[in-house]
Amino acid sequence: MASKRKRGSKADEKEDEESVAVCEISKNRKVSVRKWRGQVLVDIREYWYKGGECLPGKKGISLTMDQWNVLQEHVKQIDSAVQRVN
Amino acid sequence: MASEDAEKEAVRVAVKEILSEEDMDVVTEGMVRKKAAERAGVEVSAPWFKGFVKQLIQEFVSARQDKSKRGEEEEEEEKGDENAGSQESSKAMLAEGEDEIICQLSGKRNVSVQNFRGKALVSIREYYEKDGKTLPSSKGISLTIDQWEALKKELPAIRQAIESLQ
Repeated sequence: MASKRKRGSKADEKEDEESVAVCEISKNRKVSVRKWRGQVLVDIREYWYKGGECLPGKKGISLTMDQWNVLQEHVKQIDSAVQRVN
Repeated sequence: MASEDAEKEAVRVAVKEILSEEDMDVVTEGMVRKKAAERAGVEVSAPWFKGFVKQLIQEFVSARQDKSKRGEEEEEEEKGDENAGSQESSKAMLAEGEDEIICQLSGKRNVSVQNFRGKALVSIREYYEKDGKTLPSSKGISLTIDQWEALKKELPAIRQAIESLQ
């Protein structure tokens, strides 16, 4: 009989997610790279400091590898568009 | 023994107070339940408690969302650059009008560059369809130029992190 995975136990959290928190892009915003259920995700998000903890906020987005690659491929175009605004 | 109605009323008052005190981006239902139980002198384990608090939170959040859309635009002026990119109101985004879609990350996600009050924002966001229009949703993030530059600087580190996980 297959064993059931208990949700929420610490052992399972470690199996589900490996976080390689990467870098700050502003005082409150970070880009983190993590593995979630076998999938590598790039997360760009706001964080809040509360009671000594740094917690992820709801403003943000998690990109899959496909999405991240498209973004990277268009860095130059994004820069050009930004130049045109300023 | 206090009647259930009296207890519910005490809980309602407590939840309302707690939600107006707490930072809505961070507080969880569990935290609200615990505090409300303490303030109202009610058992967290009471059978009706969890569902009741959940309902109160939902009422509060939807009432607040209606008010906040107008309030948010005023807030952004005061907060300054740091948060200028974090405006969620789809009204503000549409009102500015100038929105150049650079690429599509997925069926629902785009990267666009917007002119928001004279400043460029790089927006990575999900869109949804309504009445035949494609509208930006609140799921996503708009980066200021400083944040976009910082992200570009970190690309090598990000790539390395990705490689180490694959």
